[in-house]
Amino acid sequence: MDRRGEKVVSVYWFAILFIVAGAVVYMVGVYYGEPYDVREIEGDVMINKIFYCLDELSNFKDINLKEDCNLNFEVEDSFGWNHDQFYVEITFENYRGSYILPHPIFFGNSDLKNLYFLGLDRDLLPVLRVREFYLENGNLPLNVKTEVYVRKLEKNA
Amino acid sequence: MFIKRRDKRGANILMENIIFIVLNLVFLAIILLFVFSRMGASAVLEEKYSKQIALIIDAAKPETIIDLNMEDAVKKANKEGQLPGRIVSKDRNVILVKINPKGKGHSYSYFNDVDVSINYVKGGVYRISIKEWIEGEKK
Repeated sequence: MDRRGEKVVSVYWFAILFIVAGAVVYMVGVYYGEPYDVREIEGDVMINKIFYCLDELSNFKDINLKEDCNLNFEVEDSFGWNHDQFYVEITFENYRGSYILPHPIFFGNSDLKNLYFLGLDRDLLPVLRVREFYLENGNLPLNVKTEVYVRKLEKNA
Repeated sequence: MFIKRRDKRGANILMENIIFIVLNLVFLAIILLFVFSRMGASAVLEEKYSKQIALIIDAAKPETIIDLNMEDAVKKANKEGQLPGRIVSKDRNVILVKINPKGKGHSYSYFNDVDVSINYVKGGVYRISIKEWIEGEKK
């Protein structure tokens, strides 16, 4: 009986096995080699915290987010980070009618906003989370827009 | 004589097929072992828990106590020679999870400015206590 065919098939079979093994190793390496990106969750949690904080404050003049909302933007000493990985911008708009609005609130590294809108390299951009909510400050109904920029690139992307 | 020869050929074909199937199963098992070993690797667990703890603290309100089950990390740390009470540590607002005592571990910061204490309870459970800073006690 001619068994050359079987030998050829077995060579191909081993080649397929090696290709499958290589593909699995590559995919697992890529999947587990990349860090989990938690910046969006981080940004959303920060927006929630800011909302509850503003809701409790009666006066929006001279707000210090660090003191009044217990925000601490210090980060770990790695990758040359210098406590500059977050930026928060809160702006107020009239909800109904027209009246004098509180001043916008800025906190953190404003370069992150410029970097985001320059958009030079999508992989190097900070994450932006935006949410608007309604709030009453005294008797004034306000539309509050909160933007949070989170960089922390080296540990998330 | 004829019957004997036919039996031998059949046995050979059966044996070849069994060996072929067994080798394929061995190959599949090795692949699965590799995938599972990567899933439970120290570096993956360190990153997962440091970020998870930081996000828990960020989202928590003061006067909250959270028990976090880290059984898989504690088991891995036992194999690596790390004491369970030393897996998670905190420096200022940075959480460090270190499963391998010789490694650097993985650190992640939280932005919620609260007084946090993290202690190992037992059975792979860590207790995270979140309180408001008492004036003058902030480190």
